[in-house]
Amino acid sequence: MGPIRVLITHMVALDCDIVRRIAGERTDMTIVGSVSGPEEAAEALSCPGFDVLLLSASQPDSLCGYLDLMWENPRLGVAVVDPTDRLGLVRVCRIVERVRGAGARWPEYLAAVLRSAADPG
Amino acid sequence: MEETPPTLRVVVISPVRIYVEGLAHLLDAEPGIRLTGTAGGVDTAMPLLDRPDVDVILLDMTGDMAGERGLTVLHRLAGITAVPCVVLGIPDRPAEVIACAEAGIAGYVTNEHGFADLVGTLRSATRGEFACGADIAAGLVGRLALLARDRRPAALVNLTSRELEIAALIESGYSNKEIARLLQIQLTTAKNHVHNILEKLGVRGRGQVMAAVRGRQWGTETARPPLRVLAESS
Repeated sequence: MGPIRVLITHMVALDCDIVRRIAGERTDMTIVGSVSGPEEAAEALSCPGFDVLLLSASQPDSLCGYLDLMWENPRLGVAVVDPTDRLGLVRVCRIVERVRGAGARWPEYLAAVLRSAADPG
Repeated sequence: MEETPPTLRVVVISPVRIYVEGLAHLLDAEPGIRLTGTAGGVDTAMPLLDRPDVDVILLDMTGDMAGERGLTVLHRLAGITAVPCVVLGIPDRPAEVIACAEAGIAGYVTNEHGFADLVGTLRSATRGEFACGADIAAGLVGRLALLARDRRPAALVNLTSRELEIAALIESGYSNKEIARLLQIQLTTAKNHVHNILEKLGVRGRGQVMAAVRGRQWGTETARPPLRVLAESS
């Protein structure tokens, strides 16, 4: 398995440079580029391709533009850095298609998914 | 052979981890830079600022710093230490940069500058250089001129450049004869200039010219028209 391919979006130059250099110190990940919006991110999905979208946002509405991309590509992980957050916590978003248990009767499957969704752990 | 620049010892002050840990980590890994320490705010930075091994401070102005914002923090820092301070995250607009310059910054980088720019600015700040764009430089010069105009006694503005030159010589204690010799002009010409200076300033003697030049006495008094003064003296 090759290194994790990260695309940076929506990030000011200095922050972009910081994360690029930090990722560059690790052998298991590589920054494939940086874009400035959802359209460019969608284009970059086919070329050069990426596994994780690293987004800078201090408000959730910045994420809205990327929901289509996430919906169409459920394997895509989106990591959100809030540059104003003192704790520096990074949020991770992903559209999860719950495949496990899908072969059961649909009512049981739905109930299992709801239980799973209710468990934040 | 190219001379290696001395190691730059940096303190990073920022309330957010992307800078206080991420950026600081990169600075420490940068050749020729040593991270003296980091702090989440000016108060917690105090022990670091007392240390002798600090060449430059990098202050993040992008957000809140323990409830304090931007210029307040900067002014407080300027009152605490004389170490050059480079600010991070201010907009590249003359008004903002000038406000920070007046608060004593030695350099600045915006969020649109890269890491290499930041390192370059830290270095230039310790050399006493202020790296900025032409529009910012023009804004700073304009501000300087405005401040100088405000400080200059009003009456001196009416003097010609030659009269200003002679007024400065009078202020230095030179006689008419010495002024003539220094400026290589006739004594009568020097006397005429001195007469005109006295008249324009509305003063009676060289002592008052000296005071006018020094801006001590005439900042308010020269608001009076010279003619009125002449009328009083007649």
